[in-house]
Amino acid sequence: MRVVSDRLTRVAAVLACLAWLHGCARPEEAQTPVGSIAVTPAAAGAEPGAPIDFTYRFTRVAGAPPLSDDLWVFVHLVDEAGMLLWTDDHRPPVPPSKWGAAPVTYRRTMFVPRVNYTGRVRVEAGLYAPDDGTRVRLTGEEANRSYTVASFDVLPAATGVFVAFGDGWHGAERAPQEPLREWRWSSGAARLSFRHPGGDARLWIELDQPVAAVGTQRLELREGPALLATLVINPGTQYVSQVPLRTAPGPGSMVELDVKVEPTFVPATVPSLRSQDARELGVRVFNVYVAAK
Amino acid sequence: MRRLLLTLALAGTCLAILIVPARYGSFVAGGSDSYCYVHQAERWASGRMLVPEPLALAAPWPDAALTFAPAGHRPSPTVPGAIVPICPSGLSLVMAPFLLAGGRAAMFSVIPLCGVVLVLATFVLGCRVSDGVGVASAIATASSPIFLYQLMQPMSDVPAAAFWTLALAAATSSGPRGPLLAGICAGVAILIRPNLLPLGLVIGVYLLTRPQRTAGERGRDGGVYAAGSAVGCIAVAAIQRYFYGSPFASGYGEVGDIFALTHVGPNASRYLSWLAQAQTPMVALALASPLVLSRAFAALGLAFCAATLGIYLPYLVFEDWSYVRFLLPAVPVLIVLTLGTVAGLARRVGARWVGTALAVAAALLIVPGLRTTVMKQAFQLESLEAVFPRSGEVVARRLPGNALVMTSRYSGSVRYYAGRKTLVWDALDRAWLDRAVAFVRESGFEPYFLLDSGEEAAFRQRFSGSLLARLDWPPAIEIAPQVRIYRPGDRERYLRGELPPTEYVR
Repeated sequence: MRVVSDRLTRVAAVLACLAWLHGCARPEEAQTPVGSIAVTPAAAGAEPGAPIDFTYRFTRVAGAPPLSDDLWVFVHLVDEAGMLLWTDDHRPPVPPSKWGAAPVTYRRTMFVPRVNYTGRVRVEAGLYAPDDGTRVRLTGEEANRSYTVASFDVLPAATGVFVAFGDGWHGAERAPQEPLREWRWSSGAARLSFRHPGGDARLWIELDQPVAAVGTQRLELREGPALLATLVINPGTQYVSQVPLRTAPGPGSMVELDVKVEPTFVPATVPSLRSQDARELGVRVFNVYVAAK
Repeated sequence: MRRLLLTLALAGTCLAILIVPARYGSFVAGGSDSYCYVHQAERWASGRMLVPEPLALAAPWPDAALTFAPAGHRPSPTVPGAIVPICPSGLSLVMAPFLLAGGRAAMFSVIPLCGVVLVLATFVLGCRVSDGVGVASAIATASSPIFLYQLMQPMSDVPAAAFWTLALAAATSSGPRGPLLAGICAGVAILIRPNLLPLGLVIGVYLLTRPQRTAGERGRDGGVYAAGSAVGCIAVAAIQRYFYGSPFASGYGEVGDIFALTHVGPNASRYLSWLAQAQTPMVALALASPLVLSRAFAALGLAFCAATLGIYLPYLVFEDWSYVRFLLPAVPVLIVLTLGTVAGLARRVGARWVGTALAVAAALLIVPGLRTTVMKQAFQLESLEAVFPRSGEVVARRLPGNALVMTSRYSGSVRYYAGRKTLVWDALDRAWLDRAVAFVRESGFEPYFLLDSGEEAAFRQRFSGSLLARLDWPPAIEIAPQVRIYRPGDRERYLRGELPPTEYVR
């Protein structure tokens, strides 16, 4: 009799724990959709390395519970067989708690990674909490609260220009969890060179500088003595900038751009980093792309 | 019951030493040392040691032979056009039969097997004090960050330490065959690391002065030991004469270039602080061992440790923590003396405290040791070095059979995994890049540059007078995240307006 009583007590304890856990669940986990997501690419296709702009639009369902500011947008790019190719997860520029009745719209540039894949790419997106991976239910046809919102083509490389990272750049790096996301740190002075694509051309550069202790930096991009652009880099912010290039002096002529960053820093001398890295670092560049307009 | 538990603990430790490297080990021909050992093992297994490279004989640039010597090798001083390893031969000789029997994977298994030998030999050595000290020392040695870091890669540190510990265990045994076994093990250890010869003298002196032996027994033991170890010494001399032209020459260069008295101070502070960091300052207790343990045993152990340190004090000064690996032969002895001292002191308090004191002391070595091992990324070596086999396999799969790869850091892995000829660009005269490319083509080979992103700046700088050194055209292949293979002929195509396709390997 006592054994039975003990077992019943244990079962009751487990059930109570489950009920408590259920009660602690995030409000976003509710079964009713809290809103909808729409994503529109600005182009039907892009070649590897090229930028492609997307317009994101979130619309909240009237009366839905407030959303947490911890929520991020997950963006998964999958091939036609459903295999994940790369991701572009990001924190929405307007905190979700401030999303009201009016739709929230913003534009974001994604660079197509340099991969061998060409063909149709499906964009699957949604909202999730990065700390525990919980996804929010939205309206629309879903698979595990992931919503197919757009598609575009990865085109064969044809129009792009190869940009060489010359003197002043450190070696390429990547994080194990994002194998297609690569970057190079600049030093204080670094050089980019490429063949001018002719006509009106522009350069896209995606960069950041994640160390708060470094403070605001100033980046100058020059072709010889000519100043092409000046960028102000605040720590922790990702920038995608477009820089118009000067007209090519001749077909196929080579262009050399000097990148100057101030101030630079040495991670080993920044106490908060606890690093032994003795390199002089400027900014972290993820993508550089050059093409005719 | 206690004996069963100790046996199970020892068996579990040995099993872990076999399993952990299989999961986390980086058994690749990557850097200079690893390629040197595995390539030499293949040469020993094939019986073809000094093979002249025709291109090295025909190439017109200065020091051409040096440019055809891949990582871990240099031109043979005796056979024109051939290369010789810079590393000693012992480990490769141990690997060669494994290679013949089971292929490359079997060859790499020598390291974890030597790891098991090292731990078992530590157990035996510790049992000279007590069974408990034996087991605790074995487990503490197996948890040493210095040991674990080297267990994960094809280097000679673990094999050398294994044979030295075995030699010590045999020398301290009371059996009649101990001196002979000690001599043979010392000989193998010297073959693996010839510069550790003085450690053999320490064991020899111990056998010649061992207490509780008659003068005749000491002389006989010393003679048997010397004869056993002489085999290894003679083999080293013969191999060095064959490779480098003199029994006293080594692959590392002139003694004056690598040893200096000015190195003693900086090395002493580095090695002692690295040792304390890896093994905790508790190992300083070993210094008290003559007061607690058998004086002859303690003196042997301390002299062995001092000799190991002394050999490397005047050696080159390194900044990286991993060079504490040079002290690995001393680590098992140091741990046995430390734990033996703890057990001896506890026994003076009361016999029932010995087990507890040993367990606590071992835990104080094991837990920080494992933590340091993780911190030093010993279990990430596989992923850190994966780029070597991956690049080599891409070269094997994607480049034509007549490809000649101009590379430096990857010169060993390209040869090992792809079987292609290599030319080491950072040994090539600064004025010769364009002409070397032309020579390679005229010789019937297709030249490629294989560089990682950290090398590109040095390549540009070295050959700043050459347009090819600009590396301003799309690579033929990009291997994430850092290795690029350039086809020099593509530059012209690119400047004409074509865009040669790049293959991305992620």
